[in-house]
Amino acid sequence: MNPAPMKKRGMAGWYFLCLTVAFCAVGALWFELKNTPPPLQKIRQLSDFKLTECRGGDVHLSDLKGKVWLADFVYTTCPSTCPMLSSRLAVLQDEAFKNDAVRFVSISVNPAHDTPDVLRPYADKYHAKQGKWFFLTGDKTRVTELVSGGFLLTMKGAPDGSNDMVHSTKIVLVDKAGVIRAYYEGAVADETHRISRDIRRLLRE
Amino acid sequence: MTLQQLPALNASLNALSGVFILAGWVFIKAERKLAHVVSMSCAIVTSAVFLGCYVTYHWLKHGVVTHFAGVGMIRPVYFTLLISHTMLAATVPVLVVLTVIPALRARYDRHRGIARWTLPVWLYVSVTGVLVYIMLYRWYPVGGL
Repeated sequence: MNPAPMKKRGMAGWYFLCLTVAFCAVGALWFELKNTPPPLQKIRQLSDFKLTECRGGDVHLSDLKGKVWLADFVYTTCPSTCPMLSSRLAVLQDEAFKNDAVRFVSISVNPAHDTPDVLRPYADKYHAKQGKWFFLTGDKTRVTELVSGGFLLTMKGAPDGSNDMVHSTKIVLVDKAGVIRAYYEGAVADETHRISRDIRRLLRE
Repeated sequence: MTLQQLPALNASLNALSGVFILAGWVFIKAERKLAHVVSMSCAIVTSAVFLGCYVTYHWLKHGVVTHFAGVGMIRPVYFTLLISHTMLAATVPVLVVLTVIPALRARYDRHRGIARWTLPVWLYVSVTGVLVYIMLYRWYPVGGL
């Protein structure tokens, strides 16, 4: 029997394989190019701040230089949105527990009521790891300066004077240089997957 | 054995399958028919065990999918491997059965005819199964974000 046709026919399976893989490669590449996320714009540089961590000690912006961090805005007597936001940050803390370049910062928007002693049980409820997930409070002027002046977000008391605050439910992404790079809507959709992806992108900068 | 350890077990079974398939192929090219039959039989057993474990793992996870944590151009590479692996893996049980039956009936010409399709596909699926595992679970371990 002529060996040449046998050899050619024997290659058929390999050709089929290569064709299938090439087809998948084209599809994957097209899909990736179509879904490439937009670049993370440098939105705003944060100025230095100094607030009190509920477990003791002060935290300055300089303590977060070189780290990629997320900020959210909560208060201990919050009925529902804050527990949800804190749960989301807790999930992200779990995902990043081995990565020392990631931090989480929760800032109390009711610092008059949320003294360190009041804030600490709230932090413990979400297993906020000391040195990894900071729960900050302090002088009201300083907190307002950071939340409104720095992050450009709402922070005010309820019109009826109760302990219900009007505050932003945004989660903010800040890069290693202290520049705000993204805002995520914490109350509406579960953006945890998108947030992890963006943290990873900033870690590579 | 915990749920988290199953992917590693599955990858090991894939790797083992790949070794048996490759050995079976080398043996038949060297016309060592008995060694070929033994190797390929082992390949079928390890592949079947793998399939059982794989289905169990995904059933236990209730459809929760592990997201690939890579950023940039590694993503199309990963998804090319994943999609081609998954599509071709679905054809393997059928191809293997169609390959074995003629051999059992001593219709070796037919056996060879189908085997030339089965071999590359089955080997590819085994190798890429290991690659996907490494990329998904090892390059980006839990906690590293």
